[in-house]
Amino acid sequence: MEIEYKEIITNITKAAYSIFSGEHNTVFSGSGIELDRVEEADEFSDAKDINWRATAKRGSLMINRFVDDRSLEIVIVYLADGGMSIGNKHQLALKLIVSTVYIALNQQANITLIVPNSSDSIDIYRSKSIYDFAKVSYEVLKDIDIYSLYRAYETTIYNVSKVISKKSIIFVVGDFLDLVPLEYLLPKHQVIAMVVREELDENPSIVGNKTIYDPSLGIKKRYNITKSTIKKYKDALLLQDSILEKSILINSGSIKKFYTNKDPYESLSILLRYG
Amino acid sequence: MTFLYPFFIGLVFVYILCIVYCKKSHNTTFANTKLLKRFVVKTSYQTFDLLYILALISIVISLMYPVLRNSTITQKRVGYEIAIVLDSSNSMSDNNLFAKAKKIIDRFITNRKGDTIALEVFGNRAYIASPLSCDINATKSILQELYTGVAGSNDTALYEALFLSTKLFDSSSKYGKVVIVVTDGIDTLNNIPPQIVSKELKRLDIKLYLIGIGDDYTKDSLKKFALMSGGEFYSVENIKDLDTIYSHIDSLLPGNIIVQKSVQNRAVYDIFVYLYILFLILIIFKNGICKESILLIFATFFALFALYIYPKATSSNANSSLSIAIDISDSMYADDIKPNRFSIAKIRATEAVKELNIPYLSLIVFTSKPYLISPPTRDKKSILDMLQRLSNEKEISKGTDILSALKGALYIESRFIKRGVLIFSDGGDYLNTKEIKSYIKDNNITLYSWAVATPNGSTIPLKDGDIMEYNHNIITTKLNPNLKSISKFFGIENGNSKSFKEFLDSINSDYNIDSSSKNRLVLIYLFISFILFIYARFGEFND
Repeated sequence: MEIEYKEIITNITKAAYSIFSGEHNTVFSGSGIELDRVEEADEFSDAKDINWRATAKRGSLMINRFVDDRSLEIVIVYLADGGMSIGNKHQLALKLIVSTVYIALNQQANITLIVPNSSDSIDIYRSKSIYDFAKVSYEVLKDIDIYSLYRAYETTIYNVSKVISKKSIIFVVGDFLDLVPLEYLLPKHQVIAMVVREELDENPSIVGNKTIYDPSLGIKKRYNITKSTIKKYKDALLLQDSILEKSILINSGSIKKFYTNKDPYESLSILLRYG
Repeated sequence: MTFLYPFFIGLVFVYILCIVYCKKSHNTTFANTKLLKRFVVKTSYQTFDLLYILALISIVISLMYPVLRNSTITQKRVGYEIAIVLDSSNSMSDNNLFAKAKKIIDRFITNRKGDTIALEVFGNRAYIASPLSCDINATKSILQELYTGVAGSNDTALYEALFLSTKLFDSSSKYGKVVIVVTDGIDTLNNIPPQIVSKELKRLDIKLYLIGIGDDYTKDSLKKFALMSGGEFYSVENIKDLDTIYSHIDSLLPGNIIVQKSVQNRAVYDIFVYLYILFLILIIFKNGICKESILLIFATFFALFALYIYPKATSSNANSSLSIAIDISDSMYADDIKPNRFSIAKIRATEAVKELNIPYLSLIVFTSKPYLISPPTRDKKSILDMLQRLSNEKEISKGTDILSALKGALYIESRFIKRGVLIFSDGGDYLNTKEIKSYIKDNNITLYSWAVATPNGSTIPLKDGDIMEYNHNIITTKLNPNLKSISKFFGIENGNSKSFKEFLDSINSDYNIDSSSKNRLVLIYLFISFILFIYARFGEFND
């Protein structure tokens, strides 16, 4: 299904209009509003942050530090693999990422988009050097050869932790069907997990003697699946999801599930507004 | 073991094609096998595939309908088919010639165990008294009923009798066909040219033994006849010599003792269906509850249906017979059914002979006593001929006794495994249903009744235009409703041939005649089972 960029922007704008209007905190905001501390300036300090009163008192150049300015650094990690090709998961992920980029840009955030590539590495796109980053993100995600990517959560997250040194809000988008080693990112960064699922990921209807192709691993194998198998699988996935949720929430992060059969824009707006 | 439908082997190729072409559709895409596989049932897929292949082999063999040929080696005397043609013109009553001849023939028949024997009489015309039948007792009892003048008294239709006797062998394929003629005169009618008779004898390879009594015949022409057919001509001066000649003929027709291989086909597909069901159950057990298993359960049920109607032998009706019994009592003159009950009974009996697929049919008429018209025979043509000539004009005895008809039928059909009696009657005035039911049950016979009367009934017209009376009271006769209660299948004449046809179909089904349709039903059930099996194996469905 071809998704038009304009359509995404229109939908997210509509959904986010009321939520983002006014002087509210958002997951991106906080900077420049609440004073955290006053400290000596360094060569990287911004002139607009100079605290003249403190400078006069101390005799050295002092600057204001505001509460948590890391919100300005937004990293979006797309855990793309072949499994996202099932149903409309990739399209949903594309909507979520482009919408997030668009909202974050409007909040003057620095955005880094990270997607894994087929050589077990990651591709990094930064908003600083790009004019219309939302559109670029759209093009990047649209052009990903999703079928050529196999699940490599560990490698991807490890690589992300290596390249993101500054405290950031990291949006991790994927189906989270396997354990994602978020411990590489937590607690240094604030992680917001966007879990993209098909109904069948959680409630599979494959019973019997089946040959199953798993595009996330690129493996085809025969399985004898019973009702009991499915029940145990569901329980295990629920447990896995709850472990993920706990590990994120304990570190002041957020998690939200998105299903391909539901409209994502409103839920996304709420997530971005309230975390 | 042989297969009745070997072409079903082609279904194996259907399976192979499915393996090749349905494989893709049988695959499922799922993105989390890493987690799923921790809970899947550990299965050896070689075992799984093997079970499917074994089930396939079993169902395909079942569909091919394997039949075991049980060969039994027996020593058997090869019987002859003998038509005894007896001159019944008036001249045969001289010196009690006819009665003495009957005695000698009776003795001859008694000695001919294993043969099939027909009786024919001739005078002005020639008639078949009894078609070819292996029931010697029945044939002998018909012989006793014959008398001089039974076929007309003035003329001697010898050539017609000979020609008619050849017709008895029309459908016969046996080699031992013999006609024995006893006559005291020459042909006086000349209605059939002797050349035609001679040609027919030759064509059908019939040996003619001609016995001339006295000297009132042209020896040469008769001798020529007999010798041409490979038979003999005997000229006897008196009846005592006839006995000697019959003994001589008896010795000429020894009856070969041959080693005979009798083969009985026995369907054995049930073994393979049992195996098929076993493999299906194992697959279901391995699969657990899922749509695939549900389909396999249905496949199992259809296989069970096929087992349920499993015909034990492919020719189960070979040893069964039916007596057609026609009521000829006075009440059958009643014309509540036009033209009268008896005429309609004859018409329906004729239809029954044509339509029924029962190997042996016999014909009796009855009032308060049964009278044998034809012993059990395969010769439908003769029975039809006898039916044609049947009339109730000659009053034998009055009243209708269904039980006597049953007893008569049972007497002549004692050697058959499946025995039935089809009665055409109005039921008479009184029926002892309890006694009849008990007789039917004890003797394991089946009674089918076609009522030729109406519930309202009618008077009985007499030939002179009067109406039958008793003590100055007009007699009315109507359908006895109890006839239904003693019959397995019952129908009432309503002028509709279709309902009679349905009645006959019921009898045919009851005789289990249509074994081929039963086989077809088995095949249909097995084939449905196969389709379900294939769909379960290769179908794409989400649970």
